[in-house]
Amino acid sequence: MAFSEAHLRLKAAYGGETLLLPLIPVSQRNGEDCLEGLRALCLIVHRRIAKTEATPQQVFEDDVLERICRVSGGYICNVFILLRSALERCDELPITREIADRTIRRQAIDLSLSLQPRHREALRAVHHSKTAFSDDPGLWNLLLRNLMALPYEDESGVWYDWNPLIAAVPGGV
Amino acid sequence: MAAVSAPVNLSPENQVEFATLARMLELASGFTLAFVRVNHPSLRDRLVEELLARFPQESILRLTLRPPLEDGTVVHGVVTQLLDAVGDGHPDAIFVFGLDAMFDPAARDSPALDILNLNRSYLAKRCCCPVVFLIAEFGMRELMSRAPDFWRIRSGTYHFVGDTEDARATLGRVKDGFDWNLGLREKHERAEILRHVLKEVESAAQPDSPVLAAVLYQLGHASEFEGTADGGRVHFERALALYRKIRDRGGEANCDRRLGDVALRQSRHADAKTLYREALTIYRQIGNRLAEANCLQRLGDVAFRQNRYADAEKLYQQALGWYREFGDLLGEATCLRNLGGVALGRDRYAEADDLYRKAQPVFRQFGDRLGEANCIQSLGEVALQQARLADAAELYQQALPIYSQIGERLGEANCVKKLGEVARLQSRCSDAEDLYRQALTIYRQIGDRVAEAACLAGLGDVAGMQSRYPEAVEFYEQALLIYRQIGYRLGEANCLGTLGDVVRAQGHYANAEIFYRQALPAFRQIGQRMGEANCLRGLGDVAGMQSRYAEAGEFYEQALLIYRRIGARLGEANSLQRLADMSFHQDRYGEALETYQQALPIYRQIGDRLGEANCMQRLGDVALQRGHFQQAGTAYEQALAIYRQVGARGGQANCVQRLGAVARNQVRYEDAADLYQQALPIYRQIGDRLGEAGCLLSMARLAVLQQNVPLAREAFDLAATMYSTIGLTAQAQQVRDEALAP
Repeated sequence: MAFSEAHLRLKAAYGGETLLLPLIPVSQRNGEDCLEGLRALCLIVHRRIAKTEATPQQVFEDDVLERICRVSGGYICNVFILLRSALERCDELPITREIADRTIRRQAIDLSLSLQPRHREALRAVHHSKTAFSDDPGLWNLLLRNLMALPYEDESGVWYDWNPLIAAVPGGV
Repeated sequence: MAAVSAPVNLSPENQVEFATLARMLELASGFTLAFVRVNHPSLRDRLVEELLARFPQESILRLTLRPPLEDGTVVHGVVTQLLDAVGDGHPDAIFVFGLDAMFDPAARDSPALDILNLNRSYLAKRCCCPVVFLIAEFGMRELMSRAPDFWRIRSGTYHFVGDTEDARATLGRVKDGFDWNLGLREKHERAEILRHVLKEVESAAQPDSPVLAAVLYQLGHASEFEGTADGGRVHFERALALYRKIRDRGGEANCDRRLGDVALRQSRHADAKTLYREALTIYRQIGNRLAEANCLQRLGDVAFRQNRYADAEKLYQQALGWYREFGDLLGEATCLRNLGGVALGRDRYAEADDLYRKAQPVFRQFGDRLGEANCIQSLGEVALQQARLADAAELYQQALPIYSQIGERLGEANCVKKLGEVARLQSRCSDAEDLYRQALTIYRQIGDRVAEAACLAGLGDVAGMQSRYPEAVEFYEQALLIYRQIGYRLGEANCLGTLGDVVRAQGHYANAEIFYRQALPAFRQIGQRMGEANCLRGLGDVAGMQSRYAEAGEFYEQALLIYRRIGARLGEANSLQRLADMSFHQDRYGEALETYQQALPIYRQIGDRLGEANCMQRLGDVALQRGHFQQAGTAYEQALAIYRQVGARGGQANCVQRLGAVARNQVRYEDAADLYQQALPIYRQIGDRLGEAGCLLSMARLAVLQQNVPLAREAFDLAATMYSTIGLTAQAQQVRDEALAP
């Protein structure tokens, strides 16, 4: 709602600013990895692993966790959907790169089911410009609501990118 | 739960997915939301069976959701149904079927998914076990975009791909009863399923040709329901190529016939004929006589659409005989309805009405809603032709919801267009314009060019009625172009006729006569008597405008005869009015009065307000000529009120100008000048040059009376120039003579 036309009404009704809990950035505006954000996400997963008395090395092969965190877009819910899905695909630990790839591809296919050409076009524009898609406010709202586009914040303000899973859609966007 | 190895009757890919799903069930603790994407009921049932066998100790609740009512009302929401099914029990897992049926993939709203999206946390709290939704691909797609928050709390998705056997089984289910009578939602669902199956079959390492051909054929069939411009042509053509390759002659003939249907809908009549003939030959060879009868009937449709009524009748009669022989009542009813169409085309209204009324109960008896709607619509057509406008509107209103319910867009568009026509005839111009535009949009979407042109012509009619002549000509020219492209002679003739009307209204009489003389033989050739009569009337109009009153009277008499013979009351009233006009112009006022009085009640009876106003105005003219000024004033005021209501600006200008004449005759010169000044800009705005000339002449004459010589001279001059421009040289000379008179 904070990104919709209802934003001002929301502010008027409840008084005060809308506080946003931003996503943990996994990349920066310039497209490079945000190491700090990736580390934070990995740390959350490491803490969960610690409760099971296993070590991250026992659960993940190589850089599999970083890869999962990167395609989650910094949305913690996505991290766990991907992890859970990968775990269900393993006969034994660790989660291999191959399983991680297969899991990511499956999630990307799911995401692509509802992608229409106009969505793809808008998402490409957002990914390229890192700004909101202002041509069609209705469509933009839908993309945010369906987590196709994700909002981030840095010292210069809010910026946007597509959900990194979209880049993994077989056949491209 | 304890998982064992994957079942063997699944493909290797599906085995991997099955193991993943089984592991989820094994590992899950508490509420876990999972989605199984499977397009084939046969595969889905196999999966469930396997899962039940793998977890024999577990209590797995299976629930098939009850869908909303046909109008979309959600009686039992998904969460309510789930919790009701669980009751006080504690299942280890719940398998939910039928989520796809809770919404219409083609509808904008899906209340059931909205409610589910809102109640997601409640569901998570109340269900302490895995909840697995088994849905088709489109269901998953719609769920993602329509219930995104519910989708977000999922823990996993599992995807199973069917094999050829599954595709065959699903195809069998989709084909069963896949016709117009199927609910709209169900039709959309089956089309979606077919698209998924096509994708699966095509992506197989070695696609199975018969199955692929059958899927393509059904998809083409589905396109017909979806009303796309392509009409399934691409699918049928692909299926045809496959059937030819595998030498399936029945399949080949069916594809030819369907492609013929597509061609007919797109008004490619010659193509349709060729395709039906090809199909007919094959059906004869393989001895499928019923299909042969269907083909004959469709060839009849082609003849009918080309206005070859005698050929159409012969073909329908031939098919009718066969249907009777086979005892195929529905085929018989369809033939009767088509014969009704022929009777209607030949202006034999009572016969048409009778045939439609014979066919309608048969369709109803068999629950053939499309057939029934078509009959009702055709009865509306008869009523419309007989100028029973209220009846026609009621019948169209009856048929419209049936078409909407079954998603037959062509029928829907036809009804909307016809309601537009009724509105036009009742002089509700803005309603008519709205309705025509609505219909036009649908016709363009479904690629029906004849109807598109007819709508454009209708919009031209409305523009003409509102005296927006240049716009009207533009609409008609667009329509004419389409008719010529597709070789639709009746449409072309109609267009030429109306173009004649419009350019005549603008005072271009020579051009109008050219148009009418082109249209007349075309109407005679195809035996369309109404059009013939309209042309004769138009030629009468042109002659009348050029002061050839006796000749005009003859044209009107000829037209009147035809209108009366075919029972076209509006044409009758119009011809009477024109005949009266001619008497009027020849100063036979008593005769004119009598004839106008014959026309007026007909206009009132059929609810043609514009016609009524025109008649009133003319009665005013007669009164004015006879020196009954007060009576004339009253008649003009009455006519003016109607013109204002229906927004006919030309009529308004005429009335205002004539009220000016009344004022002048009553020596209220100031009032008269004022009224002329009001009328003149309206004439100019609507481009009625004859009206403008007449108004200028009246102003000149008034100026003479007011002894305003410069104004009189200027107005005479302008009027004379205008008459010459229009080509009315005699009038122009008269005006010049009058100006020179002392």
